[in-house]
Amino acid sequence: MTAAVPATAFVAHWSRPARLRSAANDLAIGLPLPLAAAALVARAGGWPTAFAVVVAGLALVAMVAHARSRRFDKVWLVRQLDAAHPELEDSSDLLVSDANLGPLQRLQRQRIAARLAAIDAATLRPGWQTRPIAAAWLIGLAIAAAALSWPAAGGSAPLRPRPVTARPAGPPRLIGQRLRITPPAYTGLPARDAALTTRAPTGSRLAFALRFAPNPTSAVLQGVDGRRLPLTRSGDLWVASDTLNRSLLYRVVAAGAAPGALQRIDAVPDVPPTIRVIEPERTLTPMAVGQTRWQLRFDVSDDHGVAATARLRLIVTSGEGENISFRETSRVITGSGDRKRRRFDTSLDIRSLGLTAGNDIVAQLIVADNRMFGRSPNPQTSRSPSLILRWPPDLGQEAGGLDGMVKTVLPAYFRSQRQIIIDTQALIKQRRRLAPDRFLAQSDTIGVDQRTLRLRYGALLGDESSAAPVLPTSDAPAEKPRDDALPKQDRLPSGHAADDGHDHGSAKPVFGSADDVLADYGHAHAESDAATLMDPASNSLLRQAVDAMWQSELNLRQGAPEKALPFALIALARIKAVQQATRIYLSRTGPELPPIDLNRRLSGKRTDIIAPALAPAPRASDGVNAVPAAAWRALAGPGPVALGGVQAWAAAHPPADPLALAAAIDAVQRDQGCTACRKALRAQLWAAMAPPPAQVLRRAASDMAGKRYLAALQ
Amino acid sequence: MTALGMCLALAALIGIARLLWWQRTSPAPAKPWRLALLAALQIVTAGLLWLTLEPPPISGHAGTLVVATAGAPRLAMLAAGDALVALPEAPTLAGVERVPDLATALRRHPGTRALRIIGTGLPPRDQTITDLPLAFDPPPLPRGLVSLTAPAPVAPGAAFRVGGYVNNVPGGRVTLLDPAGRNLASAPLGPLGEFTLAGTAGAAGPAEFTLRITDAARRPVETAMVPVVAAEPVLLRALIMAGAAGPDLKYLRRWATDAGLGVSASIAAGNGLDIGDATPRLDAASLAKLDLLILDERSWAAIGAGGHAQVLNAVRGGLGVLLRVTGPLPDATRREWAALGFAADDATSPLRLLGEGPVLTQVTTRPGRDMAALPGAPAGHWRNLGRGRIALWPVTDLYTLVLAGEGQRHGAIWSAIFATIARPQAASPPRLSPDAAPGARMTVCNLGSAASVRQPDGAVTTLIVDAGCAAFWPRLPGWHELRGTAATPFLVTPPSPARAAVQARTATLALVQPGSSATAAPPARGPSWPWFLAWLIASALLWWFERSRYGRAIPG
Repeated sequence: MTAAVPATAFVAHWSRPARLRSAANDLAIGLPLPLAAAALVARAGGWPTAFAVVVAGLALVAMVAHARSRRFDKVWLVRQLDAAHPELEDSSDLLVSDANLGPLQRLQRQRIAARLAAIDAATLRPGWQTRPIAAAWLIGLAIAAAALSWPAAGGSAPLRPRPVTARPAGPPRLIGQRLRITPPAYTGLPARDAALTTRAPTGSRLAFALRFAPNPTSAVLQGVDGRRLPLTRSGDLWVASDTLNRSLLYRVVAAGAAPGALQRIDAVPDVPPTIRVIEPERTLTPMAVGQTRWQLRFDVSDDHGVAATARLRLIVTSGEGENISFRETSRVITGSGDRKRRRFDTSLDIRSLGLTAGNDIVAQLIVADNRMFGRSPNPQTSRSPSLILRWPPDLGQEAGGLDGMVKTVLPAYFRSQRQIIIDTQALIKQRRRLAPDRFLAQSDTIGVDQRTLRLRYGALLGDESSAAPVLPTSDAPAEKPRDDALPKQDRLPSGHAADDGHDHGSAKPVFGSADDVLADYGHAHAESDAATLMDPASNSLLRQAVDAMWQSELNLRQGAPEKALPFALIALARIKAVQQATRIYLSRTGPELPPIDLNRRLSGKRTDIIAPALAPAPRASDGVNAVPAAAWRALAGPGPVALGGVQAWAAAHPPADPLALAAAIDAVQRDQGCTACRKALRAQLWAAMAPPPAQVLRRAASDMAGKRYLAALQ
Repeated sequence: MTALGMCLALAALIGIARLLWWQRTSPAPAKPWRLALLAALQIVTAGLLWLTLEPPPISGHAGTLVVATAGAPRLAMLAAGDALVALPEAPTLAGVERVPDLATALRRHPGTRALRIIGTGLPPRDQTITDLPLAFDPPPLPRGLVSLTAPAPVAPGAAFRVGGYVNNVPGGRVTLLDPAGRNLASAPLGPLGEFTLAGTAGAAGPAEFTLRITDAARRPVETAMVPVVAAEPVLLRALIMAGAAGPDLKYLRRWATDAGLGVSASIAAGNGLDIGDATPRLDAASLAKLDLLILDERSWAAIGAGGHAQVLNAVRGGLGVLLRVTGPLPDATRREWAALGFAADDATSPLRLLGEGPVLTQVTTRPGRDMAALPGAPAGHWRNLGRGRIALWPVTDLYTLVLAGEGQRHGAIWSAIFATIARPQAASPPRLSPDAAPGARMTVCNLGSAASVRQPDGAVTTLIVDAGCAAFWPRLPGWHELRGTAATPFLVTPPSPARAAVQARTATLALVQPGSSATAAPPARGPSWPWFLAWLIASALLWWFERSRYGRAIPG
């Protein structure tokens, strides 16, 4: 340091470490103070105020620290230097003296200035004030923690109080409410507290606890539908309890006060269990070859709980064709899984159930839930779809290795009369193009077909023919031995065989019985009218048909299809007539036709005929909607609207959401001037009204210009 | 204009490039400041020449009043050079004279010879004030519903249509909700933003349907109210003459009876037997009592030439006639109907209605040129004959709609046909100006001698009827009721800002007279001679400076 340095700068340089250390000490001691104060203030007045307190406190601490660092001045420096460094020879005041010094003084100053260079300014600063700092922080933090974590006054009360701003006076007001809902035990739901508008399972116990200020003389829960549930006073609380059987729309009414707002409690009904079939995948399962067991698997879920056991209904059919009998058994299956979702698995032994080929097992699961009404169980049951296991009828034959031995029945191939007509007409058209011999051959072929058909119909009439076709059916009789192979005594004089189907009478002639002459010597062929089961009219028609076929066959065989065609057509017409005649009609619910007045029948007179009432029955067009429509119109305009009729109408024609309509009606009844309420009620009424049939609004009349225009158009 | 500007800019660039090239190649290069001055003079000269050829518009003649309306841009208000007045709807701007309405502004500025409107346009209050020439540069349409055509009064239960335009909502969708908030109909917007939706009215009375507009991402854009008035209908007397009974006839009678029409039927059962209500007489007196006569091709043939003449005479007097086709037409009937303008073939074609439903059958028809399609019905045409109307209905199996469970639709189609064809009402209902809004004047016409309006607060205002019309200023929004010979409800509702802007814009555009010079070229051009003088001076300066020695490096 040289003497050129002014005294103030010298002091500042040497006292700076000390001033800094002193300020740091002061800050460290003072800092917890504003923080603790801020925590206290934050608890009382909120965080913005606390922030302001922190800022102000910090400023204060800084000011104090600054003021305290002033004491490190020239006097302190001289004293400190002299005290700490004896090598300065108590002459340090010379270093800070600005006065004119004597020569000796200047010499001494140069000497100690040289020594001063070896001294560090930091040796002059005071030490850290650790104890006060630690104490200050401890106290400050303790205060802050206590202020922030002190429990709030009051705590959570069981009743939720509304903030009471004024002294309770005037009409009673609802200041606290609690609705305890205890669902039925079978649901397994816990009891809970709810708001006054809520949803709860049907059958829940509702316990209301209300608090009024001041206490009214009486209070009631008034349902919109007229139900009343009086509240009884117990101490400060007004309590009532009820069972929720159907949805409620109510309000709290205290004597001497305006009724409260509408509250709504929706009763949620128990739903029946739902059954999902996991296995088999399809309703109808054909039995596989070698299958011995049938696996069934069901998944049942319910909103509250499924009964632990379910009943499996089994129906086994037996027999075939129309002779089928049923055997019903049932067995109990125990489910697995939790209460709300259970699985029912079973495996049926097919053989022990007695299933035979061509028959079915029908299985159905019947499962109940755990619903109870009061103390008595009242379960709801659900049934699964019927699952069918079918043993296919042909499975047995295949299993028996009889595949190749199935006999097929050959159908009888012959042409119908209509086909013969079509063929004949086609042949006539082809006549020019065909060679005569080929034409004749084709005509003959059709003739053969006609003959086959004639014999077929003739058989119905009892005709006999040696050449009647023997159909190769599986039930054909065994081939008879030839006639000439028969013993002689079996031949009758007429040449007939004894067992040829005709009545040949008794073998021994009896004297006097002339009737048997024919039987003995003649050949009583079957009388056409008596030989079949048909009535005489049909029989004669069929006879005509066969005769016509005869003529048709004759001409076809002679190569004259033109001549054959009319007979073929006659034959077809007769056959159709027989078919019509023999069709049987059964009247199920026969029309009750009025008796025919035979005096007027076919007379052509139409007098005194009453016009039948075919006009549609009149129907009241606006009848259903009259009441709500009138209210709906009135609500669009100003003024009070009487809504009693609408309430009665809604009771008779319940809409989709009756409670919403009731609430809307109630809101308007309470405040007829409330525009929003009226609009809400109009919307509810619109939804409740059935759409009217489309009516007709005629167009407006034209004005004078329009009329002139239309007149000029003509 | 831009071509000219580009040409001039190009010329100036070429001039500057030439200067630079000279500088590069000259043995004695000029000093930089001389070069910069020369280049700047090039640009100045080009700009002055452009201004000479295209003089800038002067912001107004003497006597032009600039009127700021709602949504006037502040910049345009600041730039308006002439007398500027701001209507109450205009945005506030310091120092601008505010006037309560246009009439006041014109009174305060007596020398006004023309008007210039800035903003969305004049409000209804000021639209009929003046016939001064008017300049108006319309702003672009706002986003959302810009036009909505509310349906005219309909019959209870009948179908109605709502149409309109939605601006600037690409891929949007409109949905019609009934007063209970249920979805009635929904359709995507057309390419121009247009839409038409069909709804069904309910019981007689005023109803508020809602139109909801959503954008392509199904976010709601706007919700508008659609007032629908279902009016109690006057009795309609109809006579149905049928050549035979049939299912179509059965369900037509069922609907007509349910709808409360005075309908009687005459159904021939052959050989002169009638199984209808009563055998009708087709003379002039009984036809005059009818509003609608429904014939089919068999009953048309049965009434004969005399009957045809009587019926057509009655149609000229106002009767409506509906010709039903139930099967193949006899040749004579085909000729007679073709003479009326209804040419029909024997061929049938399937008819598919909008949406779900059975496929119907219609006889192919060839409508003439003066035919109009039956509204609300997918086939069929009608024409005027005198004061009456005559229509052909070629659908033979409309009843299958009822069998398919769409009885309401079946009734709505018959209702639309009957309403179109039947004899007009004796008295025409009052005619109200559309879009009634609080504070806006509305007119009511077709009034009797005395009429009054019941307002939503219950106050009744007696209208002063002059020549069948009266004016009314609604105060309150809500359902009003006009009480004259019958009660007619109408809705007063403040229009949405977008629709109010569109209405003001359209009405102001309509005020602009097409022939006036103010509209043809709203920004009048100023004189070009001062610009020419300035260009001449600048060019002379440039010419002199290019030849002067200032700033040149003296060689040597």
